[in-house]
Amino acid sequence: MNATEKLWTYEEYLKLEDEKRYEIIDGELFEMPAPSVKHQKVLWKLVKLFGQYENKVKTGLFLSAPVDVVLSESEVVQPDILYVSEERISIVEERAVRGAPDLVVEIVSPYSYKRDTEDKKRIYANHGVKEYWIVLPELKIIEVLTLEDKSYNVYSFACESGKACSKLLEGFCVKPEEVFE
Amino acid sequence: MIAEKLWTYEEYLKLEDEKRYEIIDGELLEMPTPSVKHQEILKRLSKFFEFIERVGMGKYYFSPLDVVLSERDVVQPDLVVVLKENYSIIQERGIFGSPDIVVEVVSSLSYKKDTEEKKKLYANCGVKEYWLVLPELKIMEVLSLEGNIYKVYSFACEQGKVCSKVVENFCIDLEEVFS
Repeated sequence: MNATEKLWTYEEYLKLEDEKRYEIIDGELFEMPAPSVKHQKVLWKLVKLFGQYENKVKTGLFLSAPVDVVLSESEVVQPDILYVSEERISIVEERAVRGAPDLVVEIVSPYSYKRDTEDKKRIYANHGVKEYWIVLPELKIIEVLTLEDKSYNVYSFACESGKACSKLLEGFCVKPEEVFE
Repeated sequence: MIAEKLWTYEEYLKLEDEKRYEIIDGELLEMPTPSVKHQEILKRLSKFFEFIERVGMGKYYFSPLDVVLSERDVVQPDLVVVLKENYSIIQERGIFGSPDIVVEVVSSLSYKKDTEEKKKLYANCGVKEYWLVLPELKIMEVLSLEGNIYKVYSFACEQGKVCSKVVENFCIDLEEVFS
């Protein structure tokens, strides 16, 4: 990063008055372009599947984007889907989730590939997000990463066929054909 | 999984079927036949890599070619570069040691292997530069070894160019690869 580049904080982010969506990673402000139709179709289908699971277990809180997750003053993100367990529900405040959700889902677009697979992988691990789902519509891949000793390992993986399962949400699995066309 | 067989290069050489395999950490992995798109991208990339031979910095090879990183790690990267000072690793049956650059064209089926297993393997073996090319996402990423982990050195999506750290002045324009 350029030494003279401005470092953004959550406080300043709240004062932004334009209609755009942003994230802050390591103090750097990233504009989020409007997601593609493809992205939103996958999001819709995933939300329904997570919703069915939520109705069954009736515990914790599931949310979909846009919702601010403030991991620190210089790290503010808007994951596509997040889950906070009942025990940690106090981190959910009126304007934002203040702390690490238990589970985060990102649907990767070409423009967000690097951010999702490098930057967010690093910061979610640093802040203790227990489970990180990376969904790649272009490749028809669902990858479930779980935190082991501060770094992510692939817990479950599905490509085209098969299913990807959660470690945290008992019995919750998603088949690629349920979310990709 | 305790009883799982661990494969070695020696045993790999004795395999008699017509399939292509790799061995990572002793595990034998079958390689599916690449798609036309994959081969088209590889063809375009190799034209750019000729630059390295033209300027006399090193040699490049494309798959299938065995790269024997250890007795238990034998891979067939899509494209490899060996710089002049390391020519001794180029032998008759394959490359015995770590190439300076490895390029993998990532498909759905190879995604996990390329972005997880091989990333770890190449870093551990000291491959200085690892290029990941994702045609479906129109992404190219150049990872450079710092210590023993890869950092993103150059990255481009849809347009723009990515550049090598190891080979000076060597860049590839994405539109010439993906369009």
